[in-house]
Amino acid sequence: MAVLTTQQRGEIHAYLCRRFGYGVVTKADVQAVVNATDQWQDDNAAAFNTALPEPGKSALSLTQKTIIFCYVALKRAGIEV
Amino acid sequence: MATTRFALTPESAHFPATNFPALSSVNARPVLAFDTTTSETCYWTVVAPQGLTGALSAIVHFFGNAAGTAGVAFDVAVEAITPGDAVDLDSATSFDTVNGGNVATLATQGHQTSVSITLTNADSIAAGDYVRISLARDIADANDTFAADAYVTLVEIREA
Repeated sequence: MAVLTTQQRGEIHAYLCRRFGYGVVTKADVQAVVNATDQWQDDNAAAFNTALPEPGKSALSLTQKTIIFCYVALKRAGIEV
Repeated sequence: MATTRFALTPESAHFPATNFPALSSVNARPVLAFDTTTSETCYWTVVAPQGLTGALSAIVHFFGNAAGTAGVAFDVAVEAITPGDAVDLDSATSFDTVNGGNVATLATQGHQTSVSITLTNADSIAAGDYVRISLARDIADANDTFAADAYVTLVEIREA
């Protein structure tokens, strides 16, 4: 899977700025963080999948594993979901 | 002595079909929420008051929807139409060149600041004219770095 397109990264940036707002950094700073996060996820997607135990690794879909990843990350950051 | 000619409130604004600021409420205060990544515009319609002779400026009052200091840029444009002018209101607009300005938000969320924009380009406004004033956040301006909505609470049109 490739990294997101510039358009897709821009859509994430626009949504996050409107939904949450980031006053302590600039718009360009937020976009840079979005881009780096996308790049990191792309670089480490295979390693994440390798770390999962069977049978979940093979049986769960990409969507299901992605949602698990996001929920765990949110919980770790103290964000209730 | 400066004179306040108009106090343009969020609730008296009108909007284009697309890309307009949301009319919202913060702590029971009406605001126009200007996005940081989509260029949004709204308008007010007024009549140029009798006795108007001097230079005008627009003072945009706003606060940010996040804590922190970063720049917000606004563009204000004026369209002044005198009865008999050859402007087809059915199909055309005749806004003068935009006038821009920017200022940094205050560090504390909810603290209001303002930017004064001299209306150098005021479309030769004269007393009795039918006038529209447009306000847009200039998200493409290099000085517009604030990564959150700008909540406009009021625009004062002041005569110098």
